[in-house]
Amino acid sequence: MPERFHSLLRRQLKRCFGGVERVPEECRPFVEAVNDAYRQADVDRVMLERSLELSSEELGEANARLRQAILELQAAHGDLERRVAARTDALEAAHERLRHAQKMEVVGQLAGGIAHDFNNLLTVILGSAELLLESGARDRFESGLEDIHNAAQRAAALTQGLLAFSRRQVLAPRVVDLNAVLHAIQKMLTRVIREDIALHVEPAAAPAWVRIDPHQIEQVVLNLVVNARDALPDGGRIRLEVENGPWVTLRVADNGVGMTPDVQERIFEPFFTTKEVGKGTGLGLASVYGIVHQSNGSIRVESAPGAGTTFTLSFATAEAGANGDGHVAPMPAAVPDRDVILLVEDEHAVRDVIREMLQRLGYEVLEATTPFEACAIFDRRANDIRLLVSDIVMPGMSGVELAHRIAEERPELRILLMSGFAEPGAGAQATAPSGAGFLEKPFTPSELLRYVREILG
Amino acid sequence: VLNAMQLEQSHWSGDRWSPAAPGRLGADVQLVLVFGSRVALQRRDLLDEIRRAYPRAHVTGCSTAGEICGTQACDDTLVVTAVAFASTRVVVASQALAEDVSSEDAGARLAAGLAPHDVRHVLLLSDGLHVNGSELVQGLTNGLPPRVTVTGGLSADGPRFERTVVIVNGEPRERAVLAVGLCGDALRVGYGSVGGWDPFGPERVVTAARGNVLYELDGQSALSLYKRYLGDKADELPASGLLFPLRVRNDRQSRGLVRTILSVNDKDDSMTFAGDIPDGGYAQLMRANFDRLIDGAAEAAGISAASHDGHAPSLALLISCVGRRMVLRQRVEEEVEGVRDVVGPDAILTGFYSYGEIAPFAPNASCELHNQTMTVTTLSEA
Repeated sequence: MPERFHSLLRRQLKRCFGGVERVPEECRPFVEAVNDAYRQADVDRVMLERSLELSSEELGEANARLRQAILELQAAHGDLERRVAARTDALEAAHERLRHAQKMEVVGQLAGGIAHDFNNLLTVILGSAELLLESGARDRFESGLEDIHNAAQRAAALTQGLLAFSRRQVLAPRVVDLNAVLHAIQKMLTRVIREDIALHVEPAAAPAWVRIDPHQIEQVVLNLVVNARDALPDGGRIRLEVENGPWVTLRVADNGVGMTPDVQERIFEPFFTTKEVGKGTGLGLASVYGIVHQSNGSIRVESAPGAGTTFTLSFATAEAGANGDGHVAPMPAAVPDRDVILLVEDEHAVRDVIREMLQRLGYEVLEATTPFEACAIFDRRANDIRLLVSDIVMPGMSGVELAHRIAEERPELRILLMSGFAEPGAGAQATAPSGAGFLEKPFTPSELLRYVREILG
Repeated sequence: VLNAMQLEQSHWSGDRWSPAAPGRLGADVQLVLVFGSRVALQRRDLLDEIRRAYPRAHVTGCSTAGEICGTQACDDTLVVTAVAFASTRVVVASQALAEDVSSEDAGARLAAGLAPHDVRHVLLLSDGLHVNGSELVQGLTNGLPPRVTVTGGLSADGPRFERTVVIVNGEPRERAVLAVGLCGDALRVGYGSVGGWDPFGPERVVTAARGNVLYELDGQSALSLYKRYLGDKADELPASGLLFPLRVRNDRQSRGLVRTILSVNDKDDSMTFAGDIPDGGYAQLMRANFDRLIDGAAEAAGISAASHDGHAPSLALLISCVGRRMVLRQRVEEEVEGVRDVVGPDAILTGFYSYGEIAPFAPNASCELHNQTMTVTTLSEA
């Protein structure tokens, strides 16, 4: 019976009545009700405490999940911001490269156009000067004619640089080992630099096969080394390094004065130079840029004032020995005969000079001002003509097209194509009939003779 | 006073009537409300005696989880309240809840059964275990003119949740719903419904529910959650589930409704509530706040009485949730006394502890099923 009562009520009943059993009978229902209330209060308290504990626990867990979610969200946000920043930088860099490339393209077109026209003019000037020098006029005008000749030749070198930059030079690409190219010119490079400069050449471990015009790449390396030398007024070292990888890379590094970003931005522009007046043409790096790009390569410069300069050239790796036309036969020494040559040239002055040159060499020359006229002459004298000498760029029909038409009828006919510049895109050499020769304007009568003899020989 | 309603109340308790056996108003009575324990209601002699006492009256009522008589809350008794209206007419419609009749259909049929066009107010009494109270109310109110108000409750079976009965034509019926239509312009009706429970703990998402059956909250078994919170009281489910009603709402902005458990099913780990649980909505456990429960009852009475233009109501029908009784226990009469203080000493108080309350949340709001509230309906005639 006593256990039926709540412990606190038991104590209170003991204090008031002297014990549970001494509670008067008439108070029993009252005591029962109080006991029930006490017990219920305990049950309610336990329930409330459990509710508080469980819900605090649940809210705590929810809070932790929320905090974790916030952390993840912040991380994702940070990651997103970093990615946006990286993409923005990449886009800006790409935009800058594009802008630069477009500028170079425009300058290249301009330079190429000028060079082409100048080459035609120079062919006339050079040819005429040489013809005069060989004629009786020599005695009276020798020094003047020499000056004209020399000036024209310097001008020709200048247009050559411009053409290189504008990627319109006639290239003769072959598969070569870049290591071997460097090895071949190392001695010459040593002569170009001064004694206070050390030249290190580090070839790649294995042959570095690339498809390039070896003479042009020599020119490129020479230009870069000369620039490196000029960046080392107090001496230092120049390092040439070839590496095989996804691409073949050639690094030309110096520990010289370096360049500011502003200068780096403009170094490939033609006629931009930091050298003293008269020391540089402003075409060295421009032609390097043109040749590398025309050879489907790329060039990158890294530099900072006082921290030296590194040029990195990259070319696609070529398959070893995939040449076919690599080797050029030595020029035969033959005497001219009365062979008939069909000359096609739309520029009147140029045509006159070339005709004069060929006639002096003892050839019979049939002249045509257009490819169509040439076709007409060919129809009449097909059997006499041994050689077609034609300009490449002409209105209506190109020299290459003309060569194909004639070669169809007379496969044994020899062909020599002349041009002021290589056609952009697919080169004339790639599309011309096999065995055709190429001659770059401007040329001297002796160069023309050598080519004509080679082809007819 | 000839133009006011007459009332007579008899309380059968311990095998005798007090203050007197029913019958003084006799044939003047149009409506008798009988609330009692299921066992007492199934005694044929008692209902026969009531029918004989009021030969022209509609004898209506239901089983309870406690009867309210005056300011007393009793068990195992019958409270009989006879109403002789001065001019109000009474119509009654009932409907059995069969397998092929949805709760909404049953409500619609009740509305159709209350044909008169001058119905002012409907008292709705329903089976307490086999009904979707939300749908029943929806069906009924859809079938009634908008100006007609509805209050009422779900019958109960003490804390047992086994069988409930509704008194239809003086007979106890299981699985039945009953609508009492009060017609005429002289009738004044007020109602108020207030809870007094506090939501606590995290608000959870209802992740699996169908109609009034709840499976999961936040992807976890709802029944397991209740068992954790109930501790050793889990053995007393579903009754002990009333200690933690559920506040449910469709979105975090709405006020929401309070829902209590009618039954649990361990086999499919489900809980059946008295009204709909919105799938995809929000649910939060609630707990009792004693002072607010008691104050809430008086508040409900105040809202209800305010509709009587300054006159004291003649009859107050109190329908309070069984959950409140379980929590308040010995203090349960405090909520009835709170109502008495508001409606005045002359009003007759009757009513019962229910498995669900039916009323608009506020005057002019649409009628809804509530749980865990004290719902007070007050009547008077002009």
